[in-house]
Amino acid sequence: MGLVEIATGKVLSSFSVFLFLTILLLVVARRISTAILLFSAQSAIITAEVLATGFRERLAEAYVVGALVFLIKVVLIPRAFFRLVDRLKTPRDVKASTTPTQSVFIAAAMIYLSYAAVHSYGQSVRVPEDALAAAVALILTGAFLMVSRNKALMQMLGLLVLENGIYLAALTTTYGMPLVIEIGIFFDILIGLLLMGIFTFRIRDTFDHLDVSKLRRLRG
Amino acid sequence: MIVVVTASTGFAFLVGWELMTLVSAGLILMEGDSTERRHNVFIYLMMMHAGAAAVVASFFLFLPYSHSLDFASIRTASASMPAGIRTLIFLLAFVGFGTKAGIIPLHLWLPRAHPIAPSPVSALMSGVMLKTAVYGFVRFAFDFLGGGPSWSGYVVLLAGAVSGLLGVLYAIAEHDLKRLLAYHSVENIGIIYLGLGTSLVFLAHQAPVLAALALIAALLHTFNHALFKSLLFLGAGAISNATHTVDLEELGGLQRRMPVTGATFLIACCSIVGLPLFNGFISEWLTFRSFLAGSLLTNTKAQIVLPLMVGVLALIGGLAAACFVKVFGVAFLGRPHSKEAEHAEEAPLAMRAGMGLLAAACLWIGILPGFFLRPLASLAQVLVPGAGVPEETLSIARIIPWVAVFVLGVGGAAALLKHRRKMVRTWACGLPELSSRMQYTSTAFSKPIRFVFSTVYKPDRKVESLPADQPYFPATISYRSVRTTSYEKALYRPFVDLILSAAHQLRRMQTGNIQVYLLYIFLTLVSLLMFLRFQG
Repeated sequence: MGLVEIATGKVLSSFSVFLFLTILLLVVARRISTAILLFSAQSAIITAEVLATGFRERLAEAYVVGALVFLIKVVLIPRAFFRLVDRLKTPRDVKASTTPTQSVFIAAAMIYLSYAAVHSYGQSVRVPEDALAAAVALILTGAFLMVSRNKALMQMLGLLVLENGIYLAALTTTYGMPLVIEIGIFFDILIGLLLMGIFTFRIRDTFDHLDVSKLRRLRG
Repeated sequence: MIVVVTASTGFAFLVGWELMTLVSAGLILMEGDSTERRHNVFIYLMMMHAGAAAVVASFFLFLPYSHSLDFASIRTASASMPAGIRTLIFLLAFVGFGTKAGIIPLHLWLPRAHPIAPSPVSALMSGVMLKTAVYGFVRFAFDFLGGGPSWSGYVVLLAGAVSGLLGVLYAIAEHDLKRLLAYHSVENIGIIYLGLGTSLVFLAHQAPVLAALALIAALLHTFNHALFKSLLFLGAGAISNATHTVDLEELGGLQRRMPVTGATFLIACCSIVGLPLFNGFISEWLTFRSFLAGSLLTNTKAQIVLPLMVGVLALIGGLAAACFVKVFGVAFLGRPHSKEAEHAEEAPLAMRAGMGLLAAACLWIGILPGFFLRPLASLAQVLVPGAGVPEETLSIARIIPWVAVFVLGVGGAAALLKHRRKMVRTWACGLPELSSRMQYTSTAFSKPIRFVFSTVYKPDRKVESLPADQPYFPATISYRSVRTTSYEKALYRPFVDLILSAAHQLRRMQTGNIQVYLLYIFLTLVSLLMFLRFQG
């Protein structure tokens, strides 16, 4: 086994560390632009994992998928986000409802929980435990971001992080899905993003702010 | 509805059951929309769902023993089930199907849903939907559980007696035609349950032939009720189509303007009160016979209770007769009470054809019951093992056609020998002109009965004369009497209060903030992961 193979085999688990790093940075990020950049970086890491999986499993399709991930999640979505922030002309603060210290502790607890949750599963099935734990942690972080950040843009970003987590979980447990499904997923994200973008504009136009904590008239 | 009766597995049955509820709720709302309507439909839906919950629960209680919701496997499994579970299933099925059938005190939705539903929908609901509930109950009590201890029969008997009596008493006090008919549905379901209860009692005391007799009576009455109640509702529809009201106080004299509707309505009235030669008679007669046969049992309790039910059924029949004399007399005879009734026109041909068909069916069963008794008898032999064809059904099928021939002969002879009639004006106490204000109103007609049974109605009477400062020279006097029987409050209030307070507690969770909802999802996710971790 050559050096390259060993390296790619290790990529899947060792890159998880970088993912955890992005998680910790995301929960303390104060500015929306920082959060977008972190999301972009996170997606780049996931691209690397896709390529590594493709190389190890000898799947030609995976390179196409990797290219797509890179194109959509690393380039397209962040650019769209930046444009959205520009056009909305809203203050750049994420409006966190937890302090950075609290956020870090919560994130740490979530990472611990995800390791604990996948522990028994990882032993029984042939999946890299670190990568799966990172996936669960990403899902939790996405949800956490959606709950604790008041700006509507951050709800979108939280959803995307969550989606990243789901994608990674699928990748690590199935070793790459068929191309058709991947394309469907990407299409899904783009449409979702489009809709959410439209709605943020509508929210801004109707209420003159993007603070979801003030939108509470929908109740019986 | 067809799905419900053709289903051979519990799952299909439940799907059909729910579908029936939802579709009928939609049908009720077909004629417009208002707060009151919505309120009534809401009550309807709520009671239906509570009933459906009981039905679902009773089905699922079979599961640990049968491993499948197939009717056949349920049947075989029920033999090996402990008595406690069987009791629970029986009670759940009784309550669940009773809600749909409208036995008192679970009937609340009936008088609310019918007046607002379009008449054909009422006909369908009362004629067919209530019957699916009876079907379901028969399926459970006879087919699955194969009878039960004798007390279960008495429970059904009691529910039937209470529903029958209170149903007909409430019906008499009503003057909204459709609500009156709705209360009569309660009454007839009561009669059907009387038959079913008797059958269960006989079954518990090892008298299969008599059980089959009572079951046949109940099933035939179910079928009959479907016929004549549909006919009555269609008649009510024809009336409301012609006069735009179903308030008896505003009708009158319709027989002359709507002869076909009147004739078919009369046939339905005769059927529902159980006059001989009409279909109601056959089934009520068989029910009577099965009650009387109760004295043949060796069990003392059954010997006393069953013949007593004869009195109950007779009282129901008599009161129903009074009620329909009132309905027909006030609505179709006499003079019109309002402009609309005066200018009523006969219903269109399609309506008349539908009513005529049902009326013909009523007469057919009434005169030639043998056609219908034979298949019912063979069905009863399937449901009640070891039962022969009861002698009573054969005898009635033999006698009735001859009675019909005799009555027709006498009637024809009387018509031939009829001497000339002498026409005089009605005496009006010496007043020059008769006006419609002088005749009995629906409320006045039922007054004696309401007086006798005032303990049941507990009326809240109020006489107001205006102007108030001149009590001896009143300009107008208004009299109001409202039934205040408040078991509805006593029975339902605690439930409603409990549910409302629970809902208020739950409402605190509903903050309207997106992030709180997201937090709920997040917490669910986290707790599920924790569960996963500490489970394995």
